[in-house]
Amino acid sequence: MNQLESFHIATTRTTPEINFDGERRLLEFRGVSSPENTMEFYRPIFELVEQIASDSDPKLHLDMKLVHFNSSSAKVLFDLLQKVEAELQDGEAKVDWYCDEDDDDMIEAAEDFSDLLDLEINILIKEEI
Amino acid sequence: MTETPVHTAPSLPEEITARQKSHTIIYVDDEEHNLRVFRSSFRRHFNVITHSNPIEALETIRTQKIDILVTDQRMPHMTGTQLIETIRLEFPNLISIIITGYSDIEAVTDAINKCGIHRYITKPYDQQELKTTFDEAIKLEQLKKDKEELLTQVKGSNIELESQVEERTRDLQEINHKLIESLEYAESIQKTILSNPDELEGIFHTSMIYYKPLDIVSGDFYILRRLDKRAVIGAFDCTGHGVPGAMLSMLGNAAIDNALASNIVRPSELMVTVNNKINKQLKASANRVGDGMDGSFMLYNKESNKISFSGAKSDVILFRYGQLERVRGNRLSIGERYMDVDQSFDQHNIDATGISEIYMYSDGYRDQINEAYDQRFKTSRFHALLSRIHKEDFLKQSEILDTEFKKWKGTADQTDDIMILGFRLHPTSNTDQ
Repeated sequence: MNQLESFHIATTRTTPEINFDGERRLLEFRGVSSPENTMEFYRPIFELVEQIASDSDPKLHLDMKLVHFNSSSAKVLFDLLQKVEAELQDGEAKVDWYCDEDDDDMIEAAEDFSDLLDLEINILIKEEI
Repeated sequence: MTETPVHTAPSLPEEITARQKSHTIIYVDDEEHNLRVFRSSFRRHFNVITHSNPIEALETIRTQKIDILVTDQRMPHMTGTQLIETIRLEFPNLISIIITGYSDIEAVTDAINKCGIHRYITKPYDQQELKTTFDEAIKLEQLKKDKEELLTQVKGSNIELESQVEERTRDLQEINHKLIESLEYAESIQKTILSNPDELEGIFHTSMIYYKPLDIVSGDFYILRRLDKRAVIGAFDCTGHGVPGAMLSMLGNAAIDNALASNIVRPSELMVTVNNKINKQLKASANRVGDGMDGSFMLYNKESNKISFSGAKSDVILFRYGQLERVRGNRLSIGERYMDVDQSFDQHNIDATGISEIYMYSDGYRDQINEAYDQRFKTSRFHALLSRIHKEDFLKQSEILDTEFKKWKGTADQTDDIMILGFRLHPTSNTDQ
């Protein structure tokens, strides 16, 4: 397994914080996603998935901790997960999707993704503090 | 063949000698012998002018470019400090050096403060020391000059920068103005596709259109159509906002218009027709991901008191005997890439008995982020808010929606376009009298 370079994309008012831990192969999304040009914003992440897929030991752990994503982000994120599903074998990819307990919208969105994809998506409900 | 140097004398490099020679020293002393010694000591390095009479020296200083004035203190007619005092206001940059015997040191030190004498040297002076003093004084003076020049340059470039910034700001303002103007024009065009609420008169008792674009033009749009005793309502939310959202909304609106023109009114059929049309259009432009729209159609038949509804990632909220009912659309967007042609949509047929208000909406309100950017308004709060206000008249409801929205949002930006349509079926006992 090659060491992939870790990176951090800082959050803005319309884009999420993205952290990639190359050693642990952990990709984390946090915050709000409503970029002006969604596809352009996520392009590096699609490239990362390709990079991981072409590795001798492809493995990816995704942590979804988004508070909000707009409909165009939903479509692009779906495409991203579809790519993960297509490029990685069973057991190589894992998605943990964090939702607030009272956030039906986010829970449903996660469920929709889970229904439509063969990926292992764990929906983790955070209790309100 | 290599050339061998002709001589390697350890003399000062040419350029330094030349530079130093470019400075002029005037030496004033009433003893001719001293003048001679001074001349022979320094003429190799400087242009040297000597005077035995301070009055004549004054004349020379006033008519020639002099860098350094070296003067004896004790002279007839005028002392060295007097000479310097006389000249210093006229030539503030002139370096003044006094050569004096020990007995005069006190007088000279007093004068140093008054006259700005660069240095005093005691007699007998050491030639090398004096030379170093000259060099240092010249260097210092040069540094002062350089500093002043730099300051002037900086001032100049600051002024230039300021004017550049001003110019850019003007340019940006102009561009901004043009953009806003163009958006406002686009807004007026978009308004032409939004139906007039009067269209539904006679079908509903009252209605509300709460419409808040994020960037002047909106990705949200609605269609209201009356067909005799029935009304067809479409409420859609295109991906993106601003101009891209608005352009998609034009596509969506055209597709819906088309479907309605071919007399399709059943919500599920409308959904399939519009979805096919939009899908075809979006797929035709290769590789576009993420475009599409969510939304719903509702058909209300006043005569039979029936509601039918189909939705794409979109719900309708009904209040029946004061209780909120949420009717869910399919969990599919219009324009979804993985969808088959003729993808079907469920149609919910609902008896309208006991229903007072109906709400159709985009996700903009419930997706509004708070000031801390860590919470959305969420469906739960949205439902609670509607439950609290649904009995109010629609004008009041709009006001409350607006107040609550601003309260929630605080200083955060608006997250998305917002659209909430409300319809009241009948007059109620406590409002709308």
